[in-house]
Amino acid sequence: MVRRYILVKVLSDSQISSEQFNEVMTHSVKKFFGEIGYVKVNPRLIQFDAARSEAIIACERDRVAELQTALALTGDISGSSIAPVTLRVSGTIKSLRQRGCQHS
Amino acid sequence: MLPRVEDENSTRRLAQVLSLAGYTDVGLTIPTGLMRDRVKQLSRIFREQGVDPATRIDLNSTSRAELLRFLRRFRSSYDVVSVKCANSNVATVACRDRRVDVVFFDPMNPKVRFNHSLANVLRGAFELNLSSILLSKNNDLILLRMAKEASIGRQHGTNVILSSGCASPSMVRSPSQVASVALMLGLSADQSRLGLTELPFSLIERNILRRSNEYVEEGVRVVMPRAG
Repeated sequence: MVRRYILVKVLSDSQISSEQFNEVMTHSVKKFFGEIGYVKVNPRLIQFDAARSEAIIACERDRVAELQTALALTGDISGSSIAPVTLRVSGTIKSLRQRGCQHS
Repeated sequence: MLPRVEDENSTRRLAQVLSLAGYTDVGLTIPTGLMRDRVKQLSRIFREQGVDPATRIDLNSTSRAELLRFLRRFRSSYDVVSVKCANSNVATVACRDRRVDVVFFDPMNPKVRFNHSLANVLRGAFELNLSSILLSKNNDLILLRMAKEASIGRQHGTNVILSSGCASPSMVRSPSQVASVALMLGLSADQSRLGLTELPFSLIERNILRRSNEYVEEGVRVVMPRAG
């Protein structure tokens, strides 16, 4: 099982928690691709940095487009607007963290 | 992009987010009455953030005659001319006219939609706009309609331009996200990639050349400097 890791910048009016982001991501994938699609994408929130509003999400290698679509179509979280913008896609968490540090 | 021209801070924030998301060039929709100095100021804000703006006008005509009048008046002033097709008459003229670069449709307008006959006569490009999904409450219908339009575009090999259509930072999505949405809607991987990269670039380059002093007509331009 080969995974891909996505670095996401979460732009929001209000502070959001790791749980809230995980919930909204899960909901969005299920809404647009269904339960079976969710299992195929298999998204996992690896890390959420609330201070920098950045998240690292893992998914199946050939389902990156599905996850990116679900994130793109996510517009609000409990009434306030959010914009999850994917910054990088990588094969390892290490390189993603390095890139994330360079980016910030 | 539809920046809020009256609010400089909002525009600057939008430019920052676009730069962060990985955009290097954007089409700025400019209201027709805006002063040239203000347009330059807006462009400067985007350039400061490393985003190169091209001026764009969205023509929203309700009749054929009005559209032709607008095209005569505004074609030479903007890098990109796009037409929002409000009815089938306007859509037919916009698709056939070579002065029109981009046509797009309001997904909530039941009167007109992108169909096979329009795809056959289209000279410019057809635009798929992500913002219409984000702004709509009833987005399954919008997705269905956009998927049909994407399918027609794929069948006819139409030039499809992908746009985030954002007006605020919360509507910005990265180019790879926009391409992923287009892929899920039914465009091919090549069309999705070209719709974000080469097609918009070539369109802007062609129009900048057309607007330059050296341009005479299609395939003819002055290459020697003028004497005196």
